[in-house]
Amino acid sequence: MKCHLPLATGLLALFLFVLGVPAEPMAQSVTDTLSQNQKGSGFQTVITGKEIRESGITRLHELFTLMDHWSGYSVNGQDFHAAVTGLSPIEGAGWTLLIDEQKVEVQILNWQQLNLAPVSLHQIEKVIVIHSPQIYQGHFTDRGLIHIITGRNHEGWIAEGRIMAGNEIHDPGPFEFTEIRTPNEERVGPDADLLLGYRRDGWFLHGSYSALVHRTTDTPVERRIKDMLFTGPPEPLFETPKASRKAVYVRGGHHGDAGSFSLQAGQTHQRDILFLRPYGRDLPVEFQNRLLGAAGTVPLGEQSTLLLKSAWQEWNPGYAPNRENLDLRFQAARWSHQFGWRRTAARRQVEIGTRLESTRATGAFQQGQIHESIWHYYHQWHEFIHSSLQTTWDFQFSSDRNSRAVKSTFAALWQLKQNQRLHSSLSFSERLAAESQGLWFWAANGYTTLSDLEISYDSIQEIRSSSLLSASLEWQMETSETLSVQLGGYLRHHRGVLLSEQKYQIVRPHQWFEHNGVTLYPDGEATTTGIHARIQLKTGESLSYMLFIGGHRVLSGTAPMRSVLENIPAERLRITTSWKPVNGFELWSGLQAQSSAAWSDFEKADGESYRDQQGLVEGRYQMKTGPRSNLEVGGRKSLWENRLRLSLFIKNLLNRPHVEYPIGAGNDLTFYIQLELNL
Amino acid sequence: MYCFRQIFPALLLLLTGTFLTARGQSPFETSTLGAGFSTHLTDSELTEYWSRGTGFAVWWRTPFYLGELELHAARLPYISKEPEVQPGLTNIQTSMTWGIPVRIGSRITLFGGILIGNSFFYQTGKGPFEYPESEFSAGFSGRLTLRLTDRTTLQARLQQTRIYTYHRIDDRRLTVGLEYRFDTPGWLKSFLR
Repeated sequence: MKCHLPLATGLLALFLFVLGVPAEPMAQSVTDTLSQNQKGSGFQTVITGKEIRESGITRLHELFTLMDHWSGYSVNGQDFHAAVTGLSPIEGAGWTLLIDEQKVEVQILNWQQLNLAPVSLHQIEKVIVIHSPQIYQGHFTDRGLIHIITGRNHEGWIAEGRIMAGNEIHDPGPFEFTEIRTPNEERVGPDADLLLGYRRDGWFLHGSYSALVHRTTDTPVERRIKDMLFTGPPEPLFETPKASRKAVYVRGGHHGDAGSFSLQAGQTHQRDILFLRPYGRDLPVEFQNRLLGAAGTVPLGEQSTLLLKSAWQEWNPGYAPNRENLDLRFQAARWSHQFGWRRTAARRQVEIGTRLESTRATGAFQQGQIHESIWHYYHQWHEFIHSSLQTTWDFQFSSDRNSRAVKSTFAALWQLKQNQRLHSSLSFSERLAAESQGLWFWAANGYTTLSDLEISYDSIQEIRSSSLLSASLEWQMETSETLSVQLGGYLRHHRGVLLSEQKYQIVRPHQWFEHNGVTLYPDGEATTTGIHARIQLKTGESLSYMLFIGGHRVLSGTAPMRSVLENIPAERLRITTSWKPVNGFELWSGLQAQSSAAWSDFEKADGESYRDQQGLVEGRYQMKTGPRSNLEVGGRKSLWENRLRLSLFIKNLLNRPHVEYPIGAGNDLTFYIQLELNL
Repeated sequence: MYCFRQIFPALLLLLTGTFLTARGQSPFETSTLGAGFSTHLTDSELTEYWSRGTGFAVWWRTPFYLGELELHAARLPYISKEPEVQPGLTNIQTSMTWGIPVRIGSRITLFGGILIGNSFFYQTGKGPFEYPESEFSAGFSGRLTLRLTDRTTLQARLQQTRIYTYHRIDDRRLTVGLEYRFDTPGWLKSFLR
């Protein structure tokens, strides 16, 4: 029966699609409503390039700090791990990344890193973030979706360069090898970005190059990872604990009435020190990520459009020297082809499409090569039932050679009053194990690097599909552009989630952890709920505020699943203010906080003693470090726009102790203020 | 927070100065290049481990919207007192100074300003340093210039810099050198503006 379901729904959709008779034009067409959705309503958030620049963030992964519906934390200031609220980044977040409409894989061994994307933060025009299950450009977003759209330049040329460096004070300086040595502090950069672009008469070509360095010299992190970077004998050599990233991205094409096409190419090379959970320690890894893509639309008459997309991507973790010669390397390459047909009428829009993804992975596999193909059929149906009610039915059927998965969402948009709208959605989705392609999926398919962990897969006959039942509600109100209020909530039930539980013991004399058994639980189950409120207020032309507050709870579930989900920061607060009293002077400030991450596995090691390889640092492992407020002062001068921007960041405003987990540190209040002058 | 109290007034002063511009001089109209010798005047915690030497400095300065802006770099040697324990060091101090020049007569100019910068320490031979140690620095600068010809001047500068390592390094330095002034090339002026 299951096999006939997609065929039946597809035929039904096609039938209705072809026979659908446009009714009389309505005050608000489907396309108008969809266009409004693109502006950030309906379980979507749009982060504009302007907002990115005003927020003061300087690195790609910091985009997560602007995604109010996501939970995340940084291990080292270089990598940010996040998942849409209610899901866990620890067990593989599984969100989808699109760059200029093409899906880009940025997950390696359960670490999903935005830094692997080849784009520069400074070429971003906007980011569309989806936090509820729906079909977006042919992708079902049950684990969330981030769509980065590049190309800031308008007509004509654009050329932009940027360089940034930072340094915390209190370094040991030249005293490091004297008897008055002190711990190191963090160094950031130098980071550099170069953007070039041209746009004229619908034709466009733009590109970026970005380079980033982050030296992990902060003592709590350094002392954990330095031993792992010891590559001697015969020559004792400690690799500098640093992460670096180089990325290049080019996109060109044409947009016109007769259709559009674009070509894109990108490459990222990243060196990083990842905390690999099964090993209980950080490992240096080299990454390569290459992308080629082509996309086009062809109008078929006045109401129909043909959508075509193809992409090739190769990504691989490479070997970086480490004490135990752990080699994570493998190569994966994926072809993806998507074909869609969209028909738009006054009260109806339907899109039907199919996508084929074929992935080959080689190296570090017992079988030599793994080949996985997944075929997706999808359709998305928007219909005005009534002048104040629009419904959407999204459906996707996914199949690989072993299993099938069905994903479907029913959503309704009620125009309650002229200025009030209510979004609701009910979704059920299954997820193929091959769709996630996480650590345990590769391990179960013979990824040999994990074989020394002696993990038993006996309890799992196969890595099975998981499922999610989700209900979301969001109410929006706008009053004459001065006040907008958004209140929302969700209830989610996860089933069949594969979880792992690691037991660790501290390894003396080193300050790392050794796994002491890994247990897999194939049937993680939990029910979570969350609420949020977002209020935007404008007072006059010059002053505006935004407040976001949200939180989530685990209502019930199996013990391992509860343990994982309860470790995620549960509450989040963000307040921003923008003030433009006169032309040529703008001021922004922001305050943000989230509750701390927790990791019970590591709390057990609190109080254990450690000593590093050189014997320079020794002590007792403590989960908390002393209070320390950070002050960041920055300046930026635009050479062509006569603008001077000054910024002041204060982190840990309440000066509370930090909780130092390998998975990430607890964050306290962060306050920033920026001002811009036209000189 | 001690650091914050010191730096914030300086930044405020710089900002206020920038606000009060758009009148008077034309920014970046001229450039002055200089070079000279530089030596420390005081002992610090550093000199317990290293002997100080005389180095050299180069600088470039130009009129700003208000006052003058200067970029300065100095290379200063430190000779280790126990080379087997800690290596010899080369200290590169880079800074950006903003201040107000005051003319006294036709040939002499006094200048007082604030500076922020970075201090890099490199080891001169093999040793335990894995990479340059670098730290933020801030301080004050005062100088006296004596015009020799239309385009050349003799300069004596006294600079007090605090390097914000955990054990603070307070460095007082005297620099003496010659300067040459010229009209800033148009392309550079456009770029700077």
